[in-house]
Amino acid sequence: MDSDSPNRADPAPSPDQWVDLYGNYMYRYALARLSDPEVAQDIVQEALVGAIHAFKRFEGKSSIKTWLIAILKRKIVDYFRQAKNHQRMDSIESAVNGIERTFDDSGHWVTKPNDWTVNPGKAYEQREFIDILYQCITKLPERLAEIFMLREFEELSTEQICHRLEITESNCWVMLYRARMQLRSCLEINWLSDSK
Amino acid sequence: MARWMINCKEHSRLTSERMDHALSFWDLLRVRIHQWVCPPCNQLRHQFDAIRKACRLLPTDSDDTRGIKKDAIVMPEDASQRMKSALKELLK
Repeated sequence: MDSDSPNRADPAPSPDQWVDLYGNYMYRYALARLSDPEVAQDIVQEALVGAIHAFKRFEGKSSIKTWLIAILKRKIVDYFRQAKNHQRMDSIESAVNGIERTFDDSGHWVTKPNDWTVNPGKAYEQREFIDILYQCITKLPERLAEIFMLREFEELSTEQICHRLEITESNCWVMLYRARMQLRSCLEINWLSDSK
Repeated sequence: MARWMINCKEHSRLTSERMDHALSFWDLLRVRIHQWVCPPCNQLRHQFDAIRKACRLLPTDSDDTRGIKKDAIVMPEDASQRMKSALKELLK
């Protein structure tokens, strides 16, 4: 049995029912972002185990399903932050240098951005785009990957991110800018060259 | 350079910041004027949007997940059993 309605009002099922009720939903959610089925299974299991430990603190403000997905998201963010098997950029400084190389001394493009798709609505629907985007995220410096995932994946406000990471808001904006510039550059190289 | 004119590098920074907080009136005006005269920077805006949409997409809620019908994606039985056993152990 698997519930696919995200808005279904759950009568707080007991933890031993979670795999049957939400396992497939969580698995699909993770697989869409992690590509590798085994990694997705491991992350789902980690999330469920984490949820068992945190269950005493569950206040019932959201459905169990929503709560489990929030925990799963955090595990996926951790995975991308800690990914060791990819060639990360050495440091935030290298991301800054990347931006510097993108523009000439007068602040104009050295290589102009490409039109990623004739129909922008379809860009993100393409499997290759999503796969390469997540590969590119694993290449970001750890700190940038974490902040980017918190903002764009967990959809936290920059104010919430600052509170969590104890950084200033302007620092957060700068790091998000560096992450986005690095990602678009990575996608220009890897996605466009693949799709052409 | 007139105060409302910015270069592409400044535009890229402000376009990113615009995704995170409301810009001041003058900065927003600068961004819009620059985009009006600079098609490549318009592409950048679309690229940032595409990245955000891809991150926030919820494929599990759609009829089609990564090109595969969602009903076809189920957790393998052995993985499901492994998780149940792990949870059962924790709940003892």
